[in-house]
Amino acid sequence: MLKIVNLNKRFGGLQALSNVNMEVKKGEILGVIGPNGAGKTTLFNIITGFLKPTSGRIIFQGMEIQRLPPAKIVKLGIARTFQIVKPLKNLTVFENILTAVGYQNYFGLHFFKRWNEEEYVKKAEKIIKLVGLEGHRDTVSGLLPLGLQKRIEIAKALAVEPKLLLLDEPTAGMSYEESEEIKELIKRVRERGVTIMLVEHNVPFAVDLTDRMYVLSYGKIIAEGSPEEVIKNKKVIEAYLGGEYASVES
Amino acid sequence: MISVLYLITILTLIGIYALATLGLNITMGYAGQVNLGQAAFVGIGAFTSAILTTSYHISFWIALPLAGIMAFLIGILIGIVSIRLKQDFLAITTIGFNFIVVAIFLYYDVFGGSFGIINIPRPTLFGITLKSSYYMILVFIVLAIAMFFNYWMENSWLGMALRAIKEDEDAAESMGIDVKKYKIIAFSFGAFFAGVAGSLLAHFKTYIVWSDFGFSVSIMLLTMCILGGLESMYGPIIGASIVILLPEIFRPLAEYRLITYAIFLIVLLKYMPQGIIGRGSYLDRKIRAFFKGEESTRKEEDQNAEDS
Amino acid sequence: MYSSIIQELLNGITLSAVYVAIALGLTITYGILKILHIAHAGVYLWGAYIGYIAYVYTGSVILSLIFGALGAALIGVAIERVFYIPALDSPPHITLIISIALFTLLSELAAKTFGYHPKGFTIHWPIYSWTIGGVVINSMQIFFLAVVYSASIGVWLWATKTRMGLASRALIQDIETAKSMGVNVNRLIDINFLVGSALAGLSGVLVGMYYTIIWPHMGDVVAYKGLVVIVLGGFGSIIGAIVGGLILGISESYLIAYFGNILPRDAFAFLIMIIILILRPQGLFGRSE
Repeated sequence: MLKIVNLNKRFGGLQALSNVNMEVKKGEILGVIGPNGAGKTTLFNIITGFLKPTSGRIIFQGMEIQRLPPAKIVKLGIARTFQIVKPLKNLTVFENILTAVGYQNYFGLHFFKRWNEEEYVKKAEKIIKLVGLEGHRDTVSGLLPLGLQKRIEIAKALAVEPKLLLLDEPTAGMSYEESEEIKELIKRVRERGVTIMLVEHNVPFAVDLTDRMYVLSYGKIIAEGSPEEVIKNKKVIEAYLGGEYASVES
Repeated sequence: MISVLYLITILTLIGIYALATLGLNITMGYAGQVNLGQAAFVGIGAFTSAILTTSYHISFWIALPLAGIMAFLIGILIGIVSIRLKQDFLAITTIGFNFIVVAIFLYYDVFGGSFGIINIPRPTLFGITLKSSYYMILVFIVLAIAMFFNYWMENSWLGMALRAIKEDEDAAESMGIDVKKYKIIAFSFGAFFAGVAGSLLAHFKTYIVWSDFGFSVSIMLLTMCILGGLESMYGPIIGASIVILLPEIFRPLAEYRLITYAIFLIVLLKYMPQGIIGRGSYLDRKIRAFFKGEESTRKEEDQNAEDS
Repeated sequence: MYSSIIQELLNGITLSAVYVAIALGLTITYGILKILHIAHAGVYLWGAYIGYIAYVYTGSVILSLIFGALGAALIGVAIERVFYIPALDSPPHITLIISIALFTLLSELAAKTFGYHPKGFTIHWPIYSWTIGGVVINSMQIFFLAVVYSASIGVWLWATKTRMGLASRALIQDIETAKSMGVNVNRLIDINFLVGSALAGLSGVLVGMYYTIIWPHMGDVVAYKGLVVIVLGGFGSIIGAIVGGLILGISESYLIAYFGNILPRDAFAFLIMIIILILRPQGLFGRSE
């Protein structure tokens, strides 16, 4: 579904990603884990067009997308959430999701069409129900607690009817109970036929949820495979435990 | 004793400035793009219309939309510049833009230099010259069209997109909204209404000069916009009415015009940033709550009343 | 031809003096609060008037300069405490508009208090004039340049070499961290406004003396030119403000001398600023993020 070929990203002197090759298969939940600063969010930003790669290609359903602006990539069917939630905080939950539901109307001159059509309102209501925000439909989103704002984040991403959904640390800053709820939500989303790629800092969460994993460390892929394989991989353990320990061992 | 003619003059001016403020409200209120040079767009429209009708003897009815289009095109340029700049630097760029435009009016003979352009014709319709009350009605019709546009915008995806880029540009992009495009739209649409207002002003006063469009006029429009209330189609009318009527009612204030604007701005921004009827203001919440009771189908619009 | 180039350079350096002084004040205040302090030009203007009054009553140039600087310092700190500190959480364009409104208020109040007409500000010092190789310079100009530039260099040294100045620069990085480390943040902010405003007031008085005139709108050009300079200099860079001020003043005087008729010089300055902002949004000497 999504193929990343020889991707490189340099910021000044810093090599944030080097020679990353990845593949996301249709229908799976793919995890990308790695210690802080490994380049996970940079990778997401490049796939979704917020950053341009220094070199390399990203192919989504047979089409090169690495030079496209974010809004175009959304239209092709890749949606994302942000690690630091970005709700439109002075708008209500409904308005937030409605804005995203209308994603096809922001191109060309369609923007003159009215949003108050049953089709869009219904779609937005359905998504609100799916993520469990019915009780807060008309609440100004900035007033909600973080856990609920994370749901808005996922709801907005679902509203653009993605084929591939990129979740950037969906559980960051959440309690165990909240994380479990998000996990259930992600599973429900997958059942609807959405392929999911998620970046996580919380390794147990990712192990539990994903079908397959990549491990990034200092911008390089150091391991790949099923969650069970990956967490037993020596390189991965070294990367997580830090350099000193690794050098003593070797 | 107030003469009818005087009253008509005041109402016409309110209409014209409300139109320019309505444009500013699109750029600043809905889309959140700071524009401290709106008077420059008014001036561009005014001089376009004045030059076309005096030097080229083109009909007012053609010059009016062309004035808007001219401002629209320059608005696109400023919109492109705005893509790279953040808030306060965008603000000073628009100040600079205002100064540059006014300097061009002053320095080049096409614009009449320091004497300005005189004998700008009043429009005629079916052989009647539109004066006093007729001209006022014309201004009100144009304003009504602009308000209808504003109403339409609020209820269209355009309004959604503008609000989204105001709130968070990255979030907007992730929802399929091309931020660059909508920033350009915000500036060019806002400039269009200013340009039309400029044309109406030129043919109303029949005499315009560079200093009619200086930075202090931008400050006046800004005061009207913030006082009336951002993100409200009625805000510009309320704002323009108060700012123009106040010095007329309290004569001594006329001399302290700039001081009044300054105090308005400081007090408003400190204590009442939503203005009189802007989105989220007390009046706005009451009105929305009122309509919520009557019209339950529109309840998705009415949130603030209960939640905040 | 050669002498006229030197003459324009001298004129440029003279013109730059006030840009440098104002931009230094704007830079240290922008640096610390991230507020574009347009009202700084109002402080400059009131410094000039206070200095003028002091001169009328005492007849002393020195006292006039001292009072001008002190008065300006008080106004600057008052603005910071009453308007800026409470507005720190608002988006930057809100504080910018408040600052513009304050500047308008200060200019208009000066006009209402002292009249819209310019006031002559001629000091009793005799003026000697010399011609060296075709370049004309007089004693008043030397006095003006010497005081403005040495005060500016003083502020520069204060900001970059003393402990307090360096502490202020450190504050720029992170106000919250500084607070948690027990730094008296408010006092540091006060002192920066005090120093910047005193320099503005001093240069206001000196500009009045040098051009022998003060008027309520003398701050207008300075208000927005100061912004041009800090954009040139790269926002918050002290040395950038000095170099930016010199570049602007010198290039302006050459432009007027050789291409005077295309646009008025204020418009030139803004044109330069906008071009720089488009090409290098971080400023001419600013570091890219």
